[in-house]
Amino acid sequence: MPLPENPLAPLARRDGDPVFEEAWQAQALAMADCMVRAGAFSASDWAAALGKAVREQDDDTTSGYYRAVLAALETLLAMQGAVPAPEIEARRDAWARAYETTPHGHPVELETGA
Amino acid sequence: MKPSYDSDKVADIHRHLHSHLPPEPALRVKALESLLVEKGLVDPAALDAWIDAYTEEIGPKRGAAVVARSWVDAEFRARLLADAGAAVAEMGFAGQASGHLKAVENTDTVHNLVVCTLCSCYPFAILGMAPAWYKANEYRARAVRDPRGVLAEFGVNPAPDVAVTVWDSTAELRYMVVPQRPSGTDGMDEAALAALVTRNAMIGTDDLKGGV
Repeated sequence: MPLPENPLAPLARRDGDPVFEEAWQAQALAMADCMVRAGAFSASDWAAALGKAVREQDDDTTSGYYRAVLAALETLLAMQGAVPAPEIEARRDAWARAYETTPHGHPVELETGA
Repeated sequence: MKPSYDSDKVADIHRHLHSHLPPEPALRVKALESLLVEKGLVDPAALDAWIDAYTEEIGPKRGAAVVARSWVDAEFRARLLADAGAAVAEMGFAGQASGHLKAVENTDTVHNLVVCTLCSCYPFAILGMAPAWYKANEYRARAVRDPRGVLAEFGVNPAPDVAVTVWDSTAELRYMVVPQRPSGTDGMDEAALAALVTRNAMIGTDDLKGGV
C-alpha cells in the first residue's frame, strides 16, 4: 500500500523505520527482557519503570526511546541494589579509558580489577 | 524535533572524529552488560540468542501463521479467541510467546486497534519487534484520543457504522488483532494466506484491503 506523503501524517511516515538503529539499542532491550524472563524483576515493574523513563526522556525518536530503556534498566537495578549507580559510573569510566588508551587495531579490553 | 537532539548528534560525530570512544549510550550499555554478566544476573549466551532472534527479525511470521489458521479452521479460531495463549502454544509457539496474550477479531461491525499507553507492551514473541511508530509518544497519545485519525493516516477508513475499539496493552495482557480475511482469497492455502498478513494488520493499522 502506498504510504501517504502528507507531512501531517507523522506516524505513517515512520512505518518501515528500522526497529534498531544501532547495536546498543538491541543490547539494552535484550538485557531488560532477559532480566524479566529470568525473574530478576517482574514485567509490571519493568513496564512501570519504562513508562516513567519514556515520559522523562521527552524525546520522541527511536534513539530517545532506547535511551529511556537504558535509563529504566539502570534505575531498576539501582533500586533493587543489584547494581548501584556509582558502580555503573565507575565501570562506564573504565570502559571509556580502555577505549581511549587501546591502540587502533587492538581489541578493547577492560584492565583487570576495574 | 528538539534542537538539542541535533546538537547531541553533532557532539557525537565530533567525538567519533577525535577518538574511537563509542557514543555515550553504547558505553553505558557495555558497562551495564559487563556488570550483569559478572554478577551472574544475565547469561551472556541468552543475550546473544535474544539478539540473534530479534535482530534477524523473527518478525510477524508467527502471528501471520496464527491468523491464517484462524481463517481456515473455525474451531481453531474459536479456541484462539477464547484463550490465545493456549491456541498459539498448539502451533508450537509456547513459553514466552503464549503468556498473557489475547486475540481480538475484526468483524463487519468492529475494527480493533492496539496500543500501549504506558510504554510499549507488545506481544513480540508472536509479532516480532514493535515498529518504531508503536513506541512513539505520538501514537500512544493519539491512538486513544483520535483512533480514526490515526487509522486514516495508515490508509484504514472504517465505515461510520463500524465501531473502533482501542485495546490498551499492559505487561500482564498483550493484544493481537485478528484481521478479516481479504476477499478473493477463497482458493488459497494456509501458507499463501499467511503471506498476506502484515504486522500492521495484527496491530490494527492495516485492514488488508490494499489488494491481494
